[in-house]
Amino acid sequence: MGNSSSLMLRDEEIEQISGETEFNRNQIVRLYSRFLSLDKKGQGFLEREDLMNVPELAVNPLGDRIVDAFFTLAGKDDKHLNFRQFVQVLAYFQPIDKTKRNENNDRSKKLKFAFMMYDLNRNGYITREEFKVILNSMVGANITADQLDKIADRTIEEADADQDGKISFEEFCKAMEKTDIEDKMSIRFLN
Amino acid sequence: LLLLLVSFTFIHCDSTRSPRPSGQIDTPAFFDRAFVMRFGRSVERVMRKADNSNGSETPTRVHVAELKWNSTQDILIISLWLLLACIAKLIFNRAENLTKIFPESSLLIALGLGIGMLLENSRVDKSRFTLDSHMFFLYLLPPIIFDAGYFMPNRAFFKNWDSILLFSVVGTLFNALAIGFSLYGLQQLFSFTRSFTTFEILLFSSLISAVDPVAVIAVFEEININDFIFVNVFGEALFNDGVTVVLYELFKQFMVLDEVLPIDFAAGTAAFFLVAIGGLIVGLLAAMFTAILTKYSDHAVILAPLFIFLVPYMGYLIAETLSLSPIIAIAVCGMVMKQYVKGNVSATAANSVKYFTKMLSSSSETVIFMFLGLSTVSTFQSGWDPLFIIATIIFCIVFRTIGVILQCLFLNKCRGKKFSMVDQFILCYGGLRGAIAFGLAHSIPSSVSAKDMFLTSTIAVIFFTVFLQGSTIRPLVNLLKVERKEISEPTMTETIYGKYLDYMISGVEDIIGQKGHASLVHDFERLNHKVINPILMREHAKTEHFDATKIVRAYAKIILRDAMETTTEGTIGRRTTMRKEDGDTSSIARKRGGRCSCETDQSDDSVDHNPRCPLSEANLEQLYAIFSKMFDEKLDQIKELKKIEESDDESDEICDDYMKQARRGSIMPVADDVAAARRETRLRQVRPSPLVHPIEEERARVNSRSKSTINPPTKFIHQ
Repeated sequence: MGNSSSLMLRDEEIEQISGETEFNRNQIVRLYSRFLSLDKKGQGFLEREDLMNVPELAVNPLGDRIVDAFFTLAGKDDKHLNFRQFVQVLAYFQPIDKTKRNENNDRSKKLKFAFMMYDLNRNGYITREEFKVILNSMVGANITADQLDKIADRTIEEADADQDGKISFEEFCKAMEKTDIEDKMSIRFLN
Repeated sequence: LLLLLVSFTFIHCDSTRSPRPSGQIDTPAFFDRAFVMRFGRSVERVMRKADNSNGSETPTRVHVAELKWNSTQDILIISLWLLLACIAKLIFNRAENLTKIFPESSLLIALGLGIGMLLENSRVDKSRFTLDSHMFFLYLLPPIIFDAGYFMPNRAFFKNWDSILLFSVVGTLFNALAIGFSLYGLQQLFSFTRSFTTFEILLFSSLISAVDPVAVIAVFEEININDFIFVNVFGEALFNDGVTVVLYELFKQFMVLDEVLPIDFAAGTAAFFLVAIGGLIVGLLAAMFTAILTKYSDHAVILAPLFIFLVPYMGYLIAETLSLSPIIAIAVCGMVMKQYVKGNVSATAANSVKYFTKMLSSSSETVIFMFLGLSTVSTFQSGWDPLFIIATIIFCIVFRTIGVILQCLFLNKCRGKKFSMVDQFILCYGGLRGAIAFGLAHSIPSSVSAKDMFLTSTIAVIFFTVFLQGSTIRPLVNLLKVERKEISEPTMTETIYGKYLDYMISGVEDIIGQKGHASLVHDFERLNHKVINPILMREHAKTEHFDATKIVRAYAKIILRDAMETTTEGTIGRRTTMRKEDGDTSSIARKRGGRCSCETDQSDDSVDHNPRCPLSEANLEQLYAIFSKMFDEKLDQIKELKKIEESDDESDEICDDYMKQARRGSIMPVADDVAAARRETRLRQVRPSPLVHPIEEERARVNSRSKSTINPPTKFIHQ
């Protein structure tokens, strides 16, 4: 598997991607083999169903939101995800190296991914309804609709600085400023 | 005088009884020859008289009162000691100048030292008031470790499990061997006052290399360091007991063998695994047992806290009996037990558990440190070897530093969250030794000729670390600007988003096919909910695949807090400073102060309200009237909400009014009442309730007396 996959991925491409995203060669090769294993139909790009087929994702309450966020952040084409775009989105999750500054990967980019997952209709705001949908998918079966409403209301209130009933990206960032995003949203990519 | 009386007593009052010179009275060991003080003499005389009058033939008159010293002295003495220790702690807490420099533990040791010197001058038999290691390990240590395990930040702990394991096993091993061999090597160059063999010195080094959890808690809790460092130092301190105990026992046995064969080393390694893993298993079993017991204790609610204390303590004792690591057992029990038990007992019971645990551990700690000081005086008579002591201290520091640096170098290659230089420095500096080392040193067999030298060195090292490192760590932490623990109220935002991010990361890890920390936690959670929770937790707490109880609990807490804050506010118009943290992201705080846009008179901070503003005098009166009517209803509803979100409180109200109890017939409500109450709350849960709207609707609702939902009163005032 290792040999055949690296043949299909040319060295110049690896160099380019490495330059853009700060992944090293081994990581990129590994991600590529993962990409290929996800791309069951061998089309060279991923569709939503390919990602949703990952079994663990099915039991993750936020599974479809994550997949959506991938596709939204990837670029213009909403339906297809090629390898480059795949890696670019994953670059958001690299651990932040405090010494180097990487535009692809800093705190606001990480928060952007999280925000994208909430913002279902992509208008740049999380409304109360969108939030309730998310909360419901995370928690839904275990609390009453009443409690869900109240919790959602309270959470929106806490973050909503300008009191417009929805949360913009800036408000979201402000609400998360106490959380250690760099630590929580980083994944150590294996070599 | 009280001090003197008290100080003549010891905790191990079951010591041998020495025969009285008079032969008449069989008094316990307290009243032996040592009682030469005039005060003691006079007390004696009174005793003798009282006892004489009991047993003699001569007819006496009826006593108005008599001194029943004999029957109460043991427990009276213990209580007096405890009281003295706690009063001392109280005084230290008020003497702020002192506590700013020295940690409390060092002050307590100093106090013990002072008392010890007092007794020294009175020629009391010294061997009597030392810290009995039996007493220490069986009674004083378990509460502290249990408290530590129960309140361990589990999340941070599991995130750092790799570093904790490395530090506690490899680090301690390295320290023990390095210190032992260096001291042995040093012996070849300079000779110490006592000579020792390899294994004897290794015995010593294994007990001196262990970081002590009691000392670490005592010092680190005061300086409020961030969770990351604390959990690393503390986790190491807790779990290195497994290594220490094994090494100690191993070398103790090696000492008596004529020759050491490889099979003995193999047995040692096997012993280590057995001790550590055995302790772990005992802890897990105890935790499960407690959880199950609390699950079924809903009809006898008072028993639940009792189980929470008793079963882990049994676990400790059982592990000790089976020569497994009791510290690991009780710590693991506390850590694992917490999440299940919290779902099974009511909030009040959980609160009382918390207070009682803290009380026990705090008093144990106090007594331990004081006795440490006390014992110093007696043990410092012989075996004082400055060279050995200095060498030990230097080696301890040096090897700890080397160990930490090397391990962090290795860890930083493999971990996401790296140890910075400052972190590493604090880790080195936080290697405090404490009473466990002392207890172990005390139980070194007397066949070891160097025992007294080891004992004094142990005490010296403990003093050095607790006094010097303990007192300088606070300024150092400030100097190095180490991150402190955030003592902020949890907001809904953090609770929900925290969970949300976990799921997100878990999902991404699944996409890239890597089993990272988040997805493992997620897997465990699923296992927990499918399998473990149904067994260990009560019916209503069972959840499908996400444990919402934490979010719901957080919400209930926040709402209650808001409600309380609103009602306890003085003048509504003044800006409140309820929140301790500045820059709090919650906009609720902003709403509460400066609520209306009326002019504020800057000079005396009063507000001149527009008559139409709801906060003007007349409207305020009306508001108060509505508010108090509303509030009564709200309070009832808050109680209901509490019932819905926490376990059914009707059954958990322990009756503290004897009249009510007599009427009811028992402390707890009858089983039928409980079932009925539960049914009621379930019904109310299902029925959806309308949300609260502006004032007019409120008023209408109050008048029509229909049920409204609970919203913090701030909402209607604001609108």
